[in-house]
Amino acid sequence: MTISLSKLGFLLVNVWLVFHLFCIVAGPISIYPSSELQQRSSVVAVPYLQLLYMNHGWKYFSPQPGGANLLSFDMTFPNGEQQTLRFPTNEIEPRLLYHRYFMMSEFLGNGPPEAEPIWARSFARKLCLQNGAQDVVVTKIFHDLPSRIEFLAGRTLDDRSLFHEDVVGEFHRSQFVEERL
Amino acid sequence: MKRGPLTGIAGWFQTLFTNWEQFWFQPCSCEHLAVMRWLVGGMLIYTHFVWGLQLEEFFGSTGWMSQAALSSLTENSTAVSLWSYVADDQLRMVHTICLVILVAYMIGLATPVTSVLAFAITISNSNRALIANYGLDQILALQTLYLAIGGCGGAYSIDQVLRRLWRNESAFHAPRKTSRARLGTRLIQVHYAVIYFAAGCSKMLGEAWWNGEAMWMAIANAEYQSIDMTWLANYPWILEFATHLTILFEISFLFLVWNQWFRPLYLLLGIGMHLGIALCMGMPTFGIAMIYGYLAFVRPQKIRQIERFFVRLINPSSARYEFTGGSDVYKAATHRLLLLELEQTGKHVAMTIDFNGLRRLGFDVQKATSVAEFEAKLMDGAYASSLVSLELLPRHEAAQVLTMIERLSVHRVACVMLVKVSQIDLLDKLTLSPTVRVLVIPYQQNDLHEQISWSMHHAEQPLNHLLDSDPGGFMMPVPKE
Repeated sequence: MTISLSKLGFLLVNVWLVFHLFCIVAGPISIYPSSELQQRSSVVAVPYLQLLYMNHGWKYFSPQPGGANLLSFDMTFPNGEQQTLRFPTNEIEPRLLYHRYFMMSEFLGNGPPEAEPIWARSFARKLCLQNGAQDVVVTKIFHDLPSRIEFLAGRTLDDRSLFHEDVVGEFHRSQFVEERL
Repeated sequence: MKRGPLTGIAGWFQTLFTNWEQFWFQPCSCEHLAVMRWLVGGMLIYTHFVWGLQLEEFFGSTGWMSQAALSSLTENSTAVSLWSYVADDQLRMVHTICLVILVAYMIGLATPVTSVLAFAITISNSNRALIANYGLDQILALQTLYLAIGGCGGAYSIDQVLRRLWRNESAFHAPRKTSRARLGTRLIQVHYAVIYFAAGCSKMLGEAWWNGEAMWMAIANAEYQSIDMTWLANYPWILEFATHLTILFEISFLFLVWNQWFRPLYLLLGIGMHLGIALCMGMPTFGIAMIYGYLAFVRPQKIRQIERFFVRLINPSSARYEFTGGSDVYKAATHRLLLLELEQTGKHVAMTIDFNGLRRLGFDVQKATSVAEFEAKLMDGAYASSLVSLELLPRHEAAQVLTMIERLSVHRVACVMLVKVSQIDLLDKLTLSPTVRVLVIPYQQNDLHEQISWSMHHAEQPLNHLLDSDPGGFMMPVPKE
């Protein structure tokens, strides 16, 4: 078989290929729950995968599908006007943009607890600096699912009892103005 | 002589290395990757355009994702994004430049460069808007990287058009088979298998994937829902079957997709699953992008066949004849036969022949891409001989070419034709001049192997001697006038 690469180049390509294959396997298996061996194997793989944006667990809808997380922002403007922004909502179009917002709310709902105040602050900062809000109250909303039996018994998908609200933080514009400067 | 254990181990390693080399590097054509480039490029343009609808909100310094918040996730990370170096007042300009690069990538302009830039843009967008990403962005990054590795600009590209103009060729050549095309293809295939396996294994931790409720939970999520499928609540067996089938598909894909019998089934199941996600779960872009990757499981020859079908469907008179097929063995056989038959001096016109191979052998060959062009070139008298491979053509087109050759025989144009055994009867009705040579190509691989050996053994001997020595063999003398 003819290979249009020099022997050295071909050897290097093979070394890279073996390393790449190791990484794309080590990446997903090192994500929780995983053994210490699996986690250690990712020490080499993760920086490489991060560089290529391949550091994913590929754990779609696992361990099992669940409810959805939404975000609500109660904004008070300098003139006293009050507005509530919520996402995701079906008004956000196109659908890809809707999903961008949905992923942000999902991250806040499912992400690490220690990240919650950091990201709530980041969202509030945007609303103060770009939208001109004076005060922002960030609330996360968990939209639970009815079971199939409950649904057949008449409980709808948007039954009010399925929504659970939790205030994440309250922010004032003055906290961010200095950052902008 | 006895074989020692070391010989056995060495043999095992030799076999392993050979199989590894064939799996990852056996040269292949890149039509499937080129089609993927168009599709993935289109999706990249769309996603980039959608980012542009709210550029300040997602990429700006005062947007949803502040640098401070991002840093909490990317501390000690090697992830990079060009947007980290772009000031707010330059966002729109950089976004537009990126869009232009993505368009160039999709149409295949300067692909060696734009394919790498497209990957850089893709991961830059993803790393900047880290928490607004989902499967779509992950898959696009994967596909863009592997398409760049595979050299996806070799076909259906502006690069190909420019190359043709630069070389002043009358028609497109079939893309060259390369090891990198195989490597890119295999990487997509293997990574898809790893993704499905990881997805399947992680699902097995969830009770709902075991008790059959998972599919209900997926369709009952109002935020994902784009088509209301909750009527399936009345048919629990369908939901349970779909749940179990999903797990079975994802776990077994890694093992069975390589089998030629299972592959079509798995691709169909996968397309069904991803279309379901696309239509019912509000993720059309993700579902479709996943399906794009399935092109890596389609042979390049199939893509070429589909191309021919559509070309003929749109304009039957402009049907192009391209040399597409053939293993290296086949090419070697035809080259050997033509070397025996032709003088290398003078210009030749050819149709459906491996032009690049002939040129490497020293022939000055001009390519005809249709019967009409072939005939016109023969009529102008500037060519020493003509070559046509009928065995690649459908029967009715082969008959058409033969009639034309018969008509032109009066002009004493030397012609070498390659025909397959099943086409010999077409010659019965013809009266060809002695300048026409008809070479019958055995069609079975084993026959070809034998033929090469035979041909090489007799290479030093003049053609007439060959014909005398083996009149009933694969070469047949032309019908008598």
